[in-house]
Amino acid sequence: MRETPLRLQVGEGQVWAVPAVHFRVAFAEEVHRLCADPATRPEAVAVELGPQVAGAAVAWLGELGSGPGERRALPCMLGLARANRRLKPSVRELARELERATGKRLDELPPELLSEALGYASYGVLYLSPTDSIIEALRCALELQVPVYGVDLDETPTAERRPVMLQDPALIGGRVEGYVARNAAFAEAQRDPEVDDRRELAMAARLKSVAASHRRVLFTGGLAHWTRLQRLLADPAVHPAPVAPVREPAAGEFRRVVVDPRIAIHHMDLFPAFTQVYEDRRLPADQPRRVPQPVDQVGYLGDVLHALYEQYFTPDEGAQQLDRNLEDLDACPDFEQLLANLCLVRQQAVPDLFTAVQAAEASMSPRFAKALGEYLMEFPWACRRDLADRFPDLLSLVSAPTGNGRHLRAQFVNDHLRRSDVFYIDSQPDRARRSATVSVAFRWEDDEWPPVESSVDRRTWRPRDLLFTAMSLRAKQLGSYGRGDDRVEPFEGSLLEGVHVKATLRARIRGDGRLHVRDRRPSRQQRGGPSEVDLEPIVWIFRPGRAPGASFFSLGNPIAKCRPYFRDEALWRRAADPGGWLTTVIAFGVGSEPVPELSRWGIDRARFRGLTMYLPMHFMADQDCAAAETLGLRRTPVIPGDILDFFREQHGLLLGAADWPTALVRMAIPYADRAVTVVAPDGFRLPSIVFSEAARRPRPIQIAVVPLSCFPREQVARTAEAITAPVVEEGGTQHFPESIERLLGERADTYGHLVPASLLHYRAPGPR
Amino acid sequence: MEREHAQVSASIGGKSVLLSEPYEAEESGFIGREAELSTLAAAWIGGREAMPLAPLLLGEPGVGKNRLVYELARRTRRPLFIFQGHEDVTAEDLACAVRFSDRDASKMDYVASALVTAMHLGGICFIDEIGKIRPRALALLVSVLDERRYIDSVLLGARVRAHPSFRFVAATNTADLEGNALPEFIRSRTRPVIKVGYPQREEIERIVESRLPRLAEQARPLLDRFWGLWEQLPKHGEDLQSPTPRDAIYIFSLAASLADYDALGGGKAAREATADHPFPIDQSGAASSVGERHLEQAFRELYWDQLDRA
Repeated sequence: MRETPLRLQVGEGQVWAVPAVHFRVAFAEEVHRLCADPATRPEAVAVELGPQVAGAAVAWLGELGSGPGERRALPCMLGLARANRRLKPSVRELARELERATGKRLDELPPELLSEALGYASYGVLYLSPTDSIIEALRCALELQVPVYGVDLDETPTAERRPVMLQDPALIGGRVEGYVARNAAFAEAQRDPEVDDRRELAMAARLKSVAASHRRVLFTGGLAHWTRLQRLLADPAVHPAPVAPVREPAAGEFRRVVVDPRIAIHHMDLFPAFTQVYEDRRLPADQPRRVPQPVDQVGYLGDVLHALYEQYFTPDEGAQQLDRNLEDLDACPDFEQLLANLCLVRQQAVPDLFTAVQAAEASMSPRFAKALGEYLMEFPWACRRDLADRFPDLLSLVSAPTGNGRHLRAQFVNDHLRRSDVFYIDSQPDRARRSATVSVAFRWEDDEWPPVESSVDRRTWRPRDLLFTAMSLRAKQLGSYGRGDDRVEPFEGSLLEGVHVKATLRARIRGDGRLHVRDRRPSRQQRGGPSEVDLEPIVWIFRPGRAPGASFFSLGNPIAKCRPYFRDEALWRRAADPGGWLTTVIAFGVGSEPVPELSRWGIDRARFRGLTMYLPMHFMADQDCAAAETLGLRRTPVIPGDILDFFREQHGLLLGAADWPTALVRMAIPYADRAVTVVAPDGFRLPSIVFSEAARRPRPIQIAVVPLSCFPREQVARTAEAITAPVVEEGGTQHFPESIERLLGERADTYGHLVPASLLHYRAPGPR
Repeated sequence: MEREHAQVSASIGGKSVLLSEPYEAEESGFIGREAELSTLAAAWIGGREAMPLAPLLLGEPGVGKNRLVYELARRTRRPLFIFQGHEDVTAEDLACAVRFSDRDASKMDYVASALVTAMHLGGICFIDEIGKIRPRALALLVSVLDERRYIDSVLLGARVRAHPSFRFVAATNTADLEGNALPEFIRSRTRPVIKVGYPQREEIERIVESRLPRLAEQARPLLDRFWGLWEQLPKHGEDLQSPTPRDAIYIFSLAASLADYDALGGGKAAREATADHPFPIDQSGAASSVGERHLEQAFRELYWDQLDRA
């Protein structure tokens, strides 16, 4: 009865099967090979989809141009979403318990709870992924004009899939049959019997019926079902169940969506580029031709890394960028070693996009990891605006930040850019894949948010500022360590900071023979970072030296707009009299340069060679004013016009851009009470004028220098530039809108945990 | 090597040096974290062609960074030596210490640190809370973590070379790394950085069930109640964080202890306890069942401030 593992005689007809690992191109190639070869061409195609969803997919593929003689690439990635109305029997009692406990219906409960407690995802999505064997089978059926049967059940609960270890399909090289023979039994462990038992029974019964009416049927479905399906097909007790060829289902059952690339990549082969290569080589199944070479997966990433290294280590953005990128050079061997070892541990013959990005994130700078992710994500992603004319009801299925549940989270976006509530979809990529951050191609995302009005206020991006405040607190702490004198202690087992020769000799003269050691650990009083609002000025010198094109600029708030935030109107009037800016930062660098792909949202970038920070940089306008008022405006200059003119007129300081690092420190001294902390590259020396000026103050100011190398390079690199983005005013305070968070791919409160709560939520003491 | 005073000693640089004791974690089952475990294992694969890497585990307190190291030590069957980082660690503490000797024959004993012991024996050295160690103390690690693979001890006056089987791992809390910052000379040598995030809900449940088997059939309703309480915390769903395993274990352990306290007579028995009839604090497991009110009380202990805000 069985001629080969993949060719079964079922009743009168033959079933040619392609049990597949979903989305892997080798199986799509096999389906295409069987359909394109006149010797194996099927009379009907059956797939592991329900009749309705298969009908919806066939109808849409037809509208997209799949058909006889048509060589047309499938836009990637499209999908069909349908609300999930089923719960697994094993969780029904728990669901009732949840309803009882919360007093709410299931559809009123938060999706997080439903996903975590019941394993329930609100939507199921069929991804029209060109490298998936099922989608390939549907396309071939349309090209060959043969009937399609959806032999699976139409609606099933969300199944629980366990990860299994299979041989890497990247090495199949066209030998699908052998692969299936070796791996089907292992893949079976992925089955969820509670869901799959019924499905497989239905598939077997319907396949028997299809085989009874067609001499040769091509069937493709998941490898996990194959072993049991074979048994059921051979079992005479399983009777044929009638099934009709698919037709388009009633309107409204499915939502056509264009899928966010961040979701799409979980439903493609190892890299998006494989889809492109496959589509480039693919000819319609009804055209006689040579069989194309399979996609070469093994050498792909090596070629990518070679090209990326060349591009990354010879950038055209100038020497500064190159210097920063070159810092990654010595980490390349670690990255490649980790990547190879990760493949070894995970039994992958070829790394996938996520493993590659994950290895880069763990061993290279975030800049390189981002560059690699972007390189690998380069792909002609379909976006809604390209298809909106033909499919006006098309929605975007956009990725929402992933929660801690098992499923991916998403939202619909309609043509008015309105977003639905967040829901879960029935995709369960394993955690290792989800932990890598892959940025989305911007041309896809930029259609999803409206542009920002030009009149709104802008502030530096809060996560960077929060990180910078945390680093400044640390700098302040490190600066204060050095101010304590050495203590001397008798040796008690630890050399601490080394032998104190003088103290040892003095002790010996006194008749004390003990060795004495030097202890420079901070005393108890010195420990703990400063957390009050009065940080005193902190100067950061990121890159000293000449800086053509750079100048001094300030960040802060127009004093005229600060009135609502001041409690003491007289104080505000005094400050506002000459007008100008309540200055929280004076920087040297480039104040504003456009970010081409983000400019329509009012986002630009500032690059700092160095800066003097007077108030914590993460403060919003209300906090700046509250702090300035609390400190009696002693720590914050209000600068009416040119910065250098202000310091000359107000403080008698002649400053210039030629020695800008010294100028920044001198700008700090008049606003210090006890100390100015200077963070500068190792070996940086301040001129004596700084110390003499500090000593001449009514109360001498200490200058504490902290090496820049005390801070990680990537943090220094991140804080040496700042994105400036629009903020909105609400309830007397400012915040960044959600659209900006989405555009920049980061929540505005990222790094908030690094800043003490007293500074994070700083409010002026007492009522306003 | 010879055993003396129940502590192993070895000859290093011609001196007899006492070695640190390996840590043997209690076996209580390891749940989840396969991705992190595989990255850690991948980092440690090394041989003639490539040196093993020195990974850094990064995560919030209580998420299970240490458990990860214990598990891999168990799976690789290597002795594990733990060095606890803190602000007062000095450079020499990382290598060797000296103590007054109990033996008549010598005045002082050399005591090799966890790091030197692991290097000498070919074990795993785990520096916990490395972010709390001051930069100047960490300078001694530089030569251990690059291709030199040795450490110079001033006290010993000797250079200790790492055994080929020696592996290194460090851990730090997210806030310590990002806020207080490891010096660059250590950051560039501690790669890959393995981020240990919050476990999934089902993993938390399995951890609680495995660590508190006495809950038995009560576990399910108590866990449901636990998640019900968790849902009430403000901002849940926005910050999307789970409780840490440590917090969950703490709450359920405290609930069990509160149940025991009640079973032993509670406040009345504690008040009436005398020197002759002390309150039996060592009778863990006295209660046959743990009630929801015990869990609620324990939950409130840990999250009282957030519940008040809610």
